[in-house]
Amino acid sequence: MTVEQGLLNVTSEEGTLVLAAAGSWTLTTAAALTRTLDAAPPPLPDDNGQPGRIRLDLGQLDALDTVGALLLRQFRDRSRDQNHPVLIINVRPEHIALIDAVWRAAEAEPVPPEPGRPLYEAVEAVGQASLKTARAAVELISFFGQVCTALLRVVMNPRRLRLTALVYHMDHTGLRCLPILGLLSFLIGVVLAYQGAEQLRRLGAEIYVVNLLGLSILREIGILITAIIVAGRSGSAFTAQIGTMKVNQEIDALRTLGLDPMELLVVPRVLALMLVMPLLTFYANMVALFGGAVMSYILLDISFHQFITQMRIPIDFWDATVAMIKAPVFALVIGMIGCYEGLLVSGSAESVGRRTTKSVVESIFLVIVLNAFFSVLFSTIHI
Amino acid sequence: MTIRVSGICKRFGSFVALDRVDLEIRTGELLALLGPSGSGKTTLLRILGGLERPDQGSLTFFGEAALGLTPRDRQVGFVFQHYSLFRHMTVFNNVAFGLDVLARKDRPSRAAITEKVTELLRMVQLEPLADRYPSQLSGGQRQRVALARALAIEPRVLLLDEPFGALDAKVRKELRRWLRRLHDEMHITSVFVTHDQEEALELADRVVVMNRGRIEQVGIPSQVYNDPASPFVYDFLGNVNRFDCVIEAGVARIAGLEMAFPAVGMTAGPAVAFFRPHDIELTRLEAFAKEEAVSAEGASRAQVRHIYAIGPSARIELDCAGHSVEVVMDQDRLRGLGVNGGDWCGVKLGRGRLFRAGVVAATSIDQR
Repeated sequence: MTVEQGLLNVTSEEGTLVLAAAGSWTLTTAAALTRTLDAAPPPLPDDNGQPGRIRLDLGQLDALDTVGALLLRQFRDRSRDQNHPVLIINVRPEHIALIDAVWRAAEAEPVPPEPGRPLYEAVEAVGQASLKTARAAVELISFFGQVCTALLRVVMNPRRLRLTALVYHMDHTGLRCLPILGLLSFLIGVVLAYQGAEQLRRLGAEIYVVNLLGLSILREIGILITAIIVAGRSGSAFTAQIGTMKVNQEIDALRTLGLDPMELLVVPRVLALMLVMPLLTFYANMVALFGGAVMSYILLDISFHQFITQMRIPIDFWDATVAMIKAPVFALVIGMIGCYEGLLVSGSAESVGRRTTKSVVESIFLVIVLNAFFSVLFSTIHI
Repeated sequence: MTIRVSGICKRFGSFVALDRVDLEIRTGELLALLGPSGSGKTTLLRILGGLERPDQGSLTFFGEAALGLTPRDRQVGFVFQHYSLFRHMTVFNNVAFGLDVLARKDRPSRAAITEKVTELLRMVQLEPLADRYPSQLSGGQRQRVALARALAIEPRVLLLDEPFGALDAKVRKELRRWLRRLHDEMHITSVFVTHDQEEALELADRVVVMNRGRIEQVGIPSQVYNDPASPFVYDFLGNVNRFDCVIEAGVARIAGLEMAFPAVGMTAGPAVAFFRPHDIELTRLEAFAKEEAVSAEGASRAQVRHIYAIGPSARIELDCAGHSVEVVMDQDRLRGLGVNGGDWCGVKLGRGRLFRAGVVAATSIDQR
């Protein structure tokens, strides 16, 4: 049996390095040959101080393929760059065509990449993104269905409700949210009153600051600020909690013990949020109005009594309650997305972080879209 | 037959995790699923446990179709690599959890649960730690709690996913023996996943070697180790020297070495030969005639690169005409040979196995 081996015999004549290639110069031997070629000593300068020459003898070469031919070419180019002229001798007739073809290919200009078609690519990108979004939407809707059935099961059979977990989550999402929510709502009320006062004073209509504050806070601002804070505080916490359990395989452990993660983890969280959110909204509304009243008193000298009397004029029953209608819906969206993204966490801790960010962005986005939808709906049915 | 898996396929996107897997698991045995990462062993275990649904195939538990059943209805106990204990519950409550959450009509009385949990904790030798939280336990203790939790629901089948993977070597060894004793006492049908061949061979009644979503071989540990069915199994189980060969006219020659052995009845072409380190012999160089590459006894010249002499046996790394060869022998015998690092000696391949590449064909080699 002949062993496939590429050989390179190195001999040195005066001023000339003689390299005799032998054996097979093919893909299988290329790695070893590259090392051998790299290790070949540079030729010594001749007597006149001219750089040494290299003679490459291919007479003993048994087998050659494109890789071997390319190796020879690269060696020649490298030696030339170092000012060592290379002379190639004894090329076997059967190798001439191959060496010729490979060397011509090596000299050829690289083919430029096909020019991009920006319009096509843009259309394709839009299509891909739409499909991806549509698929995600379908999955979210199916998760919504699962949450609804689980909620319904609990409502039909209240014994299945885990009361401890429900109270725990009401405490965490509701009670502990009060300080931050209060402070922010107060400041929003202050800012709105300040901006409104500046504009209305020019018209001599300072008292209408009260109308402005009453309507905007009760109908839109109060619920939005609550939803955004809850999404940032509790929605992200849901994702992180459930995601960490997923990474630790605790969710799998629950399932092997015959428990439904939906009922055990998702229902108490979503339900707690739905119960707590209207209360938080009411609280935020009141604190924001208080902030506005304080600012009105300082800037415009409108007393609290005056403020309340004036507010009764534009505000009807529905203005005061639409936010409470929206609150449970937003709570469902925030809680559902938080849990959904948590259950989608896979494998690593890094995934928990990514999903948490996504859950907050998604829920705030959906809340604002839904809020716009509600505004249109309420104005068409005149409430 | 306890569990029968037939024709199970599972894909994740374009990745084929399981490719038509057939397997039978016998009642009361301790079975190891062994393979490198990505071989589909964990996926198979999760399908057995009902945590994953296969794309195709069928699964029966005790003669009853199981794919439609929830994990609870299959009555499996599952132990995870990272314990998956509930962090906010004490050890006692963790173990009791599976019983506490049973529907009222199935749930044992409080006293019965307490008794059962205490007994389980005694069995896993954690009784004094019942009131601790998981974060106050060591890895080995947590894994025993996880095992007790899995056993609390009196499963028909116990599934363990790399149960000792996250533990250090010493604890792993102790826990392994302990699990074997426990299994011998309880005789509960158990399947565990591991990528540690030593663990699988030591612990299991039978070993299933998996690679790329397929089962390469099923057998008792000695059979799998001594008589591997494929080059993969040879390579994966234990240290092995691998030589690329060419078969010509009933003789296999190792590429680049002047060594050959008979390959009767195998078609000509490329092949692979495997020799375990303890099946290769070293001889003194005097046996060689001058300048000869191969001695009269069929040994080749080789140079000793390194000798790792720790414990009763020594591992010797040799350079045999560019091939790296590993040999294991008794310290005493090595001392008798008087070979040191850098010395030349003779290498004689003893017992091994030859696999024809691309074809399912193998033959044993024995030239001792």
